[in-house]
Amino acid sequence: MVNKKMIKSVMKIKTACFYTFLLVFFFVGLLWFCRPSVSETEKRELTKFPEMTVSGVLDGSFWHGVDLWYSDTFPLREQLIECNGFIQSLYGDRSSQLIVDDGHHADDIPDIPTRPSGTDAPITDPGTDEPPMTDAPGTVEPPTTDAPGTDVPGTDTPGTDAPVTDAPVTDAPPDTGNNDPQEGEMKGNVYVSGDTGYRLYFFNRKNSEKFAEVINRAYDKYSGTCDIYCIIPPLNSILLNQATQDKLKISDQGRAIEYMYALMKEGVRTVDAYGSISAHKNEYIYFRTDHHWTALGAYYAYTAFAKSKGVTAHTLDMFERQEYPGFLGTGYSESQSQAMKNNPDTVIAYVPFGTNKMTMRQKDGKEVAWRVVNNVKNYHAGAKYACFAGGDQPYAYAHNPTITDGSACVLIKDSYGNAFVPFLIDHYEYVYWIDYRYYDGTLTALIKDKGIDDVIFCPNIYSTGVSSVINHLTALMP
Amino acid sequence: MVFSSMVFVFLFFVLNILVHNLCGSIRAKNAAMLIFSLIFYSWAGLGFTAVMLIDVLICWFFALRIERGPESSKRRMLVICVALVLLILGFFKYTKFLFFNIGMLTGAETPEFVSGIALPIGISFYTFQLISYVADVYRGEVEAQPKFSVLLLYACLFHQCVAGPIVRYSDIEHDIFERRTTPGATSRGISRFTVGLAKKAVLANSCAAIADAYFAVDPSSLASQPAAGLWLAGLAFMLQIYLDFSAYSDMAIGMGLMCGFHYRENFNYPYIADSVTDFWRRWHMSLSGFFRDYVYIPLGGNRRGRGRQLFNLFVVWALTGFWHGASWNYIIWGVYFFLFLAAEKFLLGEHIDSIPAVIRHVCVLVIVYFSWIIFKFEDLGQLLTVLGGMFGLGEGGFSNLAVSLELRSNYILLIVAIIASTPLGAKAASFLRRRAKEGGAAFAVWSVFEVVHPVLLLFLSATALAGNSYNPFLYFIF
Repeated sequence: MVNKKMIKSVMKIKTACFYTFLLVFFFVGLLWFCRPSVSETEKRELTKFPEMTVSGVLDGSFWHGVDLWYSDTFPLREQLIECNGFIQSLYGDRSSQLIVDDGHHADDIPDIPTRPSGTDAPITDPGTDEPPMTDAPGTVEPPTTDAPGTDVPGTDTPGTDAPVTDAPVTDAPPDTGNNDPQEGEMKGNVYVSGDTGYRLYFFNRKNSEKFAEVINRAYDKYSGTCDIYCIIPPLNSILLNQATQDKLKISDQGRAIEYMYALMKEGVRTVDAYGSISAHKNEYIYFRTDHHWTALGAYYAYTAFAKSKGVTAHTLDMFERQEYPGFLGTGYSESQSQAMKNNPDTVIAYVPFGTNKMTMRQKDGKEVAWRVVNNVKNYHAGAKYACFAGGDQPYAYAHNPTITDGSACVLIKDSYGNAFVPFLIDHYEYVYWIDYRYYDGTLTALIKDKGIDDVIFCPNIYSTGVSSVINHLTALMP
Repeated sequence: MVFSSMVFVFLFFVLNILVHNLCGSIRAKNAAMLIFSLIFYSWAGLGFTAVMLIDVLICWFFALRIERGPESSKRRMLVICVALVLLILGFFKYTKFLFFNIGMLTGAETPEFVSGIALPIGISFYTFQLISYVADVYRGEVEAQPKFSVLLLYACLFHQCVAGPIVRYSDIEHDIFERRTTPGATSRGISRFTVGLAKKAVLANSCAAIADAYFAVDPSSLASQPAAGLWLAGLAFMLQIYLDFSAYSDMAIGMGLMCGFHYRENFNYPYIADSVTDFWRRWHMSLSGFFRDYVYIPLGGNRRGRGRQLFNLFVVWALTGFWHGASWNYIIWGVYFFLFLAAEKFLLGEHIDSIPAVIRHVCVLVIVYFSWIIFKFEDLGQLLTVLGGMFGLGEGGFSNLAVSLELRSNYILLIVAIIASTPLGAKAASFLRRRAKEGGAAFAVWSVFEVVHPVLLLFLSATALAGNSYNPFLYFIF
């Protein structure tokens, strides 16, 4: 028989264990110097300690901020979240999940309008009698690859944005820009099936038409001096079979892109990245654990671009290939899928042969010499997509010394465009790329200062339906 | 500050326990509890603390006047005191509702100051506690507390001041002056606290995520939710609200036991009730008890005939609904229960016992299920949309892939949540405890269980809280 003393002993051990556990966490919480400022798993900057103000103390907002800061930067938070991912995998059969972030309503895609022959006017919605969105149709000009403008430098220093070529290129992760919420990319809906997260696309008619208007605006403003290209990379839900797409009620990305392209002026060089990528659905063209395409997916878009530009695309075997296994991207961080964790992606990159040197201007204004394809072997599992083009920097450029014709292009992109950059390097003497979310200059000035020949818009299809993206793009062209 | 936050569990609570145990005298312990409670309450803003101090001051002053004043003035003092604290409650909680309805009826514009009125957290709880104190002094059931600080400690004790249980002064008067902790009480407190924390952080928050997937969508999308999704969300919300609210009481009772306070039980597995009357004997017992003792019985209860009893019941249940929130849906929710309670009392009477128990249980669950749908939607238009959608009158059809995935991904969670809403766990623990007294293997199993379960539950809760931004307690809004 058990006596009271034995029961009391158990209770004392229980109490001691409980308080010990609490105290361990208490002391860990006090280790302010161990508190992280960035979450690599969630790809965001963690909450900062709030500024103490009288009004904040009175209305409670200061204390609320302390609360957020304490939990958000708790030293063991990443490990605890990982454990939580495992625990949540026990909630049920999570081999398939639908992570809905912002509702899932798709507008109907109108019939693709037919363009009147012999005109440069944008095609109006057949359902309306509205006039064309602009009144300056202009004429279609041939590509002007040999007219880089007057400010094109003949040295390694393009324009006034002097590269910091003496800065050492290190392997330390730069400020890749992945810390900020990625507008137009991170937000969205994910369908997880097995070890793959599919980013779902729901057509937004109003914003898609506005996006086409923005491209037309660029055409109206710059078509006299440069060619305007538009590449809309589709999301990986094109890989889902039709029955699943129907069940998810997602929009047909091919038709949506076709619709947007049809609304653009004829002089805009629309690139059929969708068709090119779709022809290789059985290849590793999208990451399974991340929302981006792979370099191979970007390569197929590049072949379509080359066709549109009238140049020959380089073949993959011309590039040095680098592999970085162990990539767990946004699909994993959102779903915490154990299947993804057990089968991470590999980032495969193709190093441009003309040059791998680049210069980037970070958000803090600092210019850093970097590599177009960087070694990300020692990067955090969630940060390996930063392999390409220095990540999401406001502004970057590369000078290819093997081409001396003064040709220059600018890529206006979100992070999808990063994997596309390496393929552009070997076609221009100067390649500039700006992230429309962070760049605070104007496209007009850039074109003028750098003697741009080709302006290439490359937002992923999700972004074309996001109003803030439209606003950012519009702001580039005052 | 909420109980289910890292800063509370691993900083505030640890410091509170440490300081409380280090204080030698009861006076020092009370001073420590008062300071901690004021910090806890002020976390939401010092302005709210001022409102509570005024309420306590009013009740402290009038209770002393009632006790020490002439017999003839006692009733008047009571009425003035209750009117003043109800006026304060009414101002902060019901002014917006009042002007909204005046505006609806007359078209008058709501004054600007109304939109700036913020609801002090827990005001409904501590107001009722203070009213019960003054009423008890008036009845001669407790002595008026001459020390303001002691009455303040009673009202603002952080264990229960913001979300109950609604503690009577007589319940803890003894504990305030002569509390002591024992290994047994501390052990029970630890179990209770960790069970409550896990119920909230792991189960309630996860159920909330399921409910929100269909209920917390853009109002314009409510009509397009599939019927099966709405039914699933209703179930998840039903589980969430019980697990959430009872978790808070569990944690309050548990922390009280660890410090020597003994609070009344607030829940007794309400979802196993076999009648609506039984449900309300098990749900938020401290609130039901308050309305019974301070409204129903003073109005005459069942002593003045059937008609008056019916009226009294109506008043009590309309007030119960109105206490929960300043919106018509809460009043409808209260009256909804009044109808079933009146039907049980006056129509079914003793015949209710002749109905098979299974049918009674199912009927109660169905009635309660729909009560929570009413409770959930303050906008009556949305409420009707959801009710219509549940019965196939919406635009979302019966089901879709998202619903089946949601169910498949969470079926184990839902089963565990259902089990946690029944006394099965408590009965199993009780059985184990009884068997343990016989010694042998049962004692070993019980010992391990006793020592491990609080630490395990605390760890599970920590993992859930680490990455969980959804954790405001539902009852804070009351």
